[in-house]
Amino acid sequence: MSSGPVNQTRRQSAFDAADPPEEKKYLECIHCGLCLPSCPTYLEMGNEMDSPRGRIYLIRMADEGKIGITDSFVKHMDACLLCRACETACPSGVQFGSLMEKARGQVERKYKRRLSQKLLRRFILSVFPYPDRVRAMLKLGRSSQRLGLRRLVIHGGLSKSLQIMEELLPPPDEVPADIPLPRVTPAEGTPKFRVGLLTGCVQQVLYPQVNAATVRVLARNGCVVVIPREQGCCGSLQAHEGGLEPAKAFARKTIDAFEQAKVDYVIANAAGCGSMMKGYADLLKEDPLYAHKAETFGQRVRDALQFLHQIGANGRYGPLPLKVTYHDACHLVHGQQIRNEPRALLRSIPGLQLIELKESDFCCGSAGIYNLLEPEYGVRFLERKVDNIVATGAEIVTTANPGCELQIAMGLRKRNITMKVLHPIELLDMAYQAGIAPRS
Amino acid sequence: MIQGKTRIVRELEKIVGPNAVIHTEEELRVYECDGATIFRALPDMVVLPATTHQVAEIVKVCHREQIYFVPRGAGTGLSGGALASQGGIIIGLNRMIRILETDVPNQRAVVESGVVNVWLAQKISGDGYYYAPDPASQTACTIGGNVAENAGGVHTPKYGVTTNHVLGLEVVLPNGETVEIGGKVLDPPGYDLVGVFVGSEGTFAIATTVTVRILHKPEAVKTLMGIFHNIEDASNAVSGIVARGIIPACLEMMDKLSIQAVEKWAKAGYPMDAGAVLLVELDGPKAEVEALADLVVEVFQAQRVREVRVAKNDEERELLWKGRKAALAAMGQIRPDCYLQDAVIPRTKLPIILKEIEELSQEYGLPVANVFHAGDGNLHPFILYDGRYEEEIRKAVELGARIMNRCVEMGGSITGEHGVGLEKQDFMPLMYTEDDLEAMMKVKCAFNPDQILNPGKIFPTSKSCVEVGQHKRDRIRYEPHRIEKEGLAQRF
Amino acid sequence: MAHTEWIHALEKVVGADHVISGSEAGTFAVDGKVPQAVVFPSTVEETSSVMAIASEAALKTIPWGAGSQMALGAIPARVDLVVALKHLNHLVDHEWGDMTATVQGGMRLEDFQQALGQHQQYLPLDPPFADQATVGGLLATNASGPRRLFYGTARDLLIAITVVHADGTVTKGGAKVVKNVTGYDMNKLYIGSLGTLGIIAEATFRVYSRIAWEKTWLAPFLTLDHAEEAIAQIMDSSLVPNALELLDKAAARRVTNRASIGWTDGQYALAASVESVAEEAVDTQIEEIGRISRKVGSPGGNLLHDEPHHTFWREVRDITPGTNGTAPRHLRAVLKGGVLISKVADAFRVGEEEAKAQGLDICIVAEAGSGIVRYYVSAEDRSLQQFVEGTVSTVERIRSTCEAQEGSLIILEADAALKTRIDVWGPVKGLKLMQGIKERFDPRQTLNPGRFVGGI
Repeated sequence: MSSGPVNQTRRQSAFDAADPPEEKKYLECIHCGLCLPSCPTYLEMGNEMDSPRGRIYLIRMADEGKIGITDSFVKHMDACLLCRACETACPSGVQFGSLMEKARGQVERKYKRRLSQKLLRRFILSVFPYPDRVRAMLKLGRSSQRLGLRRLVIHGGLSKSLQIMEELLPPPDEVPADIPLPRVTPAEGTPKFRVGLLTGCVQQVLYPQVNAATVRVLARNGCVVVIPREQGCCGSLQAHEGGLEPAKAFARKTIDAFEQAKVDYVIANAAGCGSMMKGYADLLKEDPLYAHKAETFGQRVRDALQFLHQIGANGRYGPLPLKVTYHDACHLVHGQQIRNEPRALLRSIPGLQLIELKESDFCCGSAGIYNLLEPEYGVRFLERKVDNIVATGAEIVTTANPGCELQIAMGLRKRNITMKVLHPIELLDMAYQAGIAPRS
Repeated sequence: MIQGKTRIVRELEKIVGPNAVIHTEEELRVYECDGATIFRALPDMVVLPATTHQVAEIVKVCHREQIYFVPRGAGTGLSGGALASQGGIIIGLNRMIRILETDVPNQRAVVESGVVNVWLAQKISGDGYYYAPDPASQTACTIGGNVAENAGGVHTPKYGVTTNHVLGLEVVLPNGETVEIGGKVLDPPGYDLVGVFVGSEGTFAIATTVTVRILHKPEAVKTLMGIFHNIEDASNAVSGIVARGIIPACLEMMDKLSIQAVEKWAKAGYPMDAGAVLLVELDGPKAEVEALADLVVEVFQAQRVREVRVAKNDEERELLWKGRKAALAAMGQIRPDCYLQDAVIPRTKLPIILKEIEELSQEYGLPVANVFHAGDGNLHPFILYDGRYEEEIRKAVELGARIMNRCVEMGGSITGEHGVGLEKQDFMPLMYTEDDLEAMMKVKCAFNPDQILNPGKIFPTSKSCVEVGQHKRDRIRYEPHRIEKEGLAQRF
Repeated sequence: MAHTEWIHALEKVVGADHVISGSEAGTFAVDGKVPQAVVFPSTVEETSSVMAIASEAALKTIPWGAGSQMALGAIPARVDLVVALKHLNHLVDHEWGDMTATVQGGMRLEDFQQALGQHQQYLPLDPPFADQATVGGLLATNASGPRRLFYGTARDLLIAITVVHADGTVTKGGAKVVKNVTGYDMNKLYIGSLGTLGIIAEATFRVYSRIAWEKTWLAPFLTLDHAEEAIAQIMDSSLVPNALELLDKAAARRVTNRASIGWTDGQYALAASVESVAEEAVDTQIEEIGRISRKVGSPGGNLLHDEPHHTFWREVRDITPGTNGTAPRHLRAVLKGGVLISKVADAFRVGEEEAKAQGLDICIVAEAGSGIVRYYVSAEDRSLQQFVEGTVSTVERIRSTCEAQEGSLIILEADAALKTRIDVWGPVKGLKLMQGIKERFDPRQTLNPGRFVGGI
């Protein structure tokens, strides 16, 4: 029996010195277990290695040298959605997201994945952060749909992941053509703020209408909206998968781009990007040149809905007699603790009936590129989400993250449900349009 | 170590499937402690059954092989109860999470033991009902775990603890037999097996389904916060409330140190400079709640209350409670480690013991924060220390022992809701004689004669059931039990 | 040990005047079996010594409180010694500030209540014949009454216990605090164990303050269907009656008659008692209960308070079999059924039907909110054999109905002639475990052998 107070001598850590999960952060976990039922993978799998507490414990054990970066260690790190629901549940304020990203960073460098897995990761991470490549993918996807390429892929080694990737892409007629947005959009009325918009890699290709709506709604609320051309990916997908170095590079580039644009606020309409940018300080804290910049930058980042709520969006809405439900994107509700703002904005639209979604803050399984890397579990979470969405009886489901939009739309499509998936800001935009249109 | 582990892993995998047997060391590590990290013990295996039948099949293997096994819920317990302290198999009930039945007209629900406490409340809330026991960990802890520990919570002054709400159980005995005891209907004939099972800390059998009473929500709820200049006034207010015959749904106290720690996290608007805060919740018919609230305010005023706040709506109410429920975790902010005590004292002795705890805190040079269920006299001194220093660990444990000693001397108990487990077994003789403990052992042995289920918990020394069964005079003719010969257990 | 030897040994412990034997012991017969001796210990230590002697001499021993519930249980295998506890009757302490109190097992509940009353406190247990029963007796039989709806039963009120075991060992369980999980909850084990595991020497309870206002709404109903609907609606509301009692026509007539309440025959009665520190809270609830009752078809109703309220509930509690409680003792039986709340009315129906078919008089009263149904069966002018045959059939019928609804039926009181024909307790879940406990607590079968479930 090894009970009783323990006081081991320290063994060699399984982690190296480059961005290891910090001891101070994992020691904040007092092992109380309150996070357990907030964790989708724990609920689904029912074992503690796939719970936040368990994963932190594994990280700690690895750091204390009691276990290595083995197959099963990696399995439980990979299975995490990084939805950060556990951070909301944690009364001690453990920064789980940071611990997990850093643990994955170690995994990426120190663990040899199977070749097919390695290729898959490399492929995904070489496409999504680059809008042009996403655009190309979309075209390829369309032609594959046309040419029946799917069948070929299915017989390949990575059939499941690639099949999901293909299914995720919206049908060609649903993606609007590129909507060019001006570098600077003037405010309507007296300018009150100068804001920069991050247009995002996936958002600008698959949901250009969301960016367009964001610009219109911001302008209507007295914002001069700047879209710096120099901006790129925010780096979140890389960081998620432990690619901390490429993520840092993206982060520096993003900071520079918006610094040059001289904006009061940096607005993100994709929850994942907003959450990432708010956390640049942690990512770059060892960087002598950028540590301070990252901190001040992070303080200026706002989610679009958070910002509108904060400045008190003008209420000249026309009525939208719609039944709407709202799915909390993990990186908004857990990553940024933004829960009430989107709901309050939606409720302020006359005629709109907001129906609460059961388990609204439970991950839809998209989780960055989790749905592609862990397709089996991604689908399970999606099924649960779609069941709940259908139960609301709403006509429209809204969510403030393109990954969730894609995932949920796929789930609905597969069940032949014609419910629309929109970003809440699109409804605000529609309401403003309705407010202008002469009433019949 | 288990003999023939590979063979047994294979056999268990046949019962539950390969994903439900954990046997590699790095994965088992995750199960080496529960909510009380001061204790650690690596199990040999963890098995995750999904049905009662699977539990029974696993237990039959354990019985045949005479392997120790221990049930585990969410692992939020605070006395080390869910640890395989002598090795063996942990049976995790986290896949048995179905709410089998909610029978609203009869005010009953039947759940599998892995169901999280708060899920039941959520499920029946729409019908206007709730499940009364609400331990601070209710968002995570399982109802099966609540049964094992006889969990309390904040609603206990009026609604009692788990045992007052559990009516029936389906249990798997340590020989693999499945037995139903009690049920939805009250007063089943025979001994109250359910009553003695609740709080047996997983040493009798593994409960797989639990039948509970559900209650209709009250017409009105009122939460008041009394802010006091010092802890003496607040303790006297508690005694005043009790003595006036007011039965609040909840009556909680926080001292200065706790207020500061919790406020930093919960931001519930607790005043940072107050000496103590009392949280009182009254529920029932509206007119009654108002009348009781007036009485409570009267008692407060008699103790020079600085300010009385009343939550105006559900949100404000939730906020006041949020801080209280986050107390354990928030303590991590003051010192890295925390040893939480759980002793109970007759309520009129509160002012005395709180003063003594303060003196002890000074004597040992360790901060002690008090957040507790004042309405039942259930203390929760959080002894704060730094586990990196051996000396501080020793002091913390000793300080805790001194508090327990004093509580027992004043007619109290060493644990009100966390259980004995591994933590307090050495303190059992403070409260019970050898004969008292032997009577308890007899009940355990009726359920668990080989003591392969959860050995080494609760009792200060191991004792085989063969010996427990003997009449005193016959002890001379005692034959040591097999496990005793092997040195796995010892006599008093 | 020879007969004279152990009697002498007992006399040495308690004094010769505290041991009786021979014909004097006749009034302590259990199911007609007369003990060889009756011993009256006055302290826990004496009780312990008595049990050590009894165990040593292999005496079949029956603990005896006030004797008010000695008809409960199967016929004992043998009766050698009765341990009568009427001298073990002191109040140990009353910590009124903590709202706890400790009494010896032989203290009468009534005396205990009087002591508590000095601080306006009381023990909210109201079992039948509460003024005669001893505290130990009501714990051993798990007796309860209408107020259990709000306050629960002994298992919700007992916090510590001292027990003298069959071999004289004295142990305690629990602590004098209202919340405690140190070790197993031994209190629960002894409650309702009918003295088969030990003699309850001391008991500590959490007690309550007397509440200022208490009133009852007594609603008549022409049919069971209507009463059933009223019960369902009251239970599915935020109303908190402390008692909710359903009386069949015969019981309603008798109780109202004795309590001098105006009543029209041929109606069921549903009585809801409400208490509160605020009269307004009582009145609004009574009003609501009245409204619900009328809505589902109650043709009127009586508001009871003060003396009529108390008389009414005492009469409900102390009902005895017979049209006027006058049936000959051997032609009486009391049964207690447990059913789901929603099946209380069904339990009435089957009782009425079967008694009619058997030509027996029946009176049925239920704690409707708890699902406890009491049947008072009797006959005025039948032979014992006729009565037994009819009652056996009635018990079997009601028992099978209760069991079909996950419930049970036990015989609380009956002549030995009936008990020889039918199991007093009926089938029991977990019997093997119970037998295992008994075996370990009382391996020589000293205490109350054969009287409890499954021959324990």
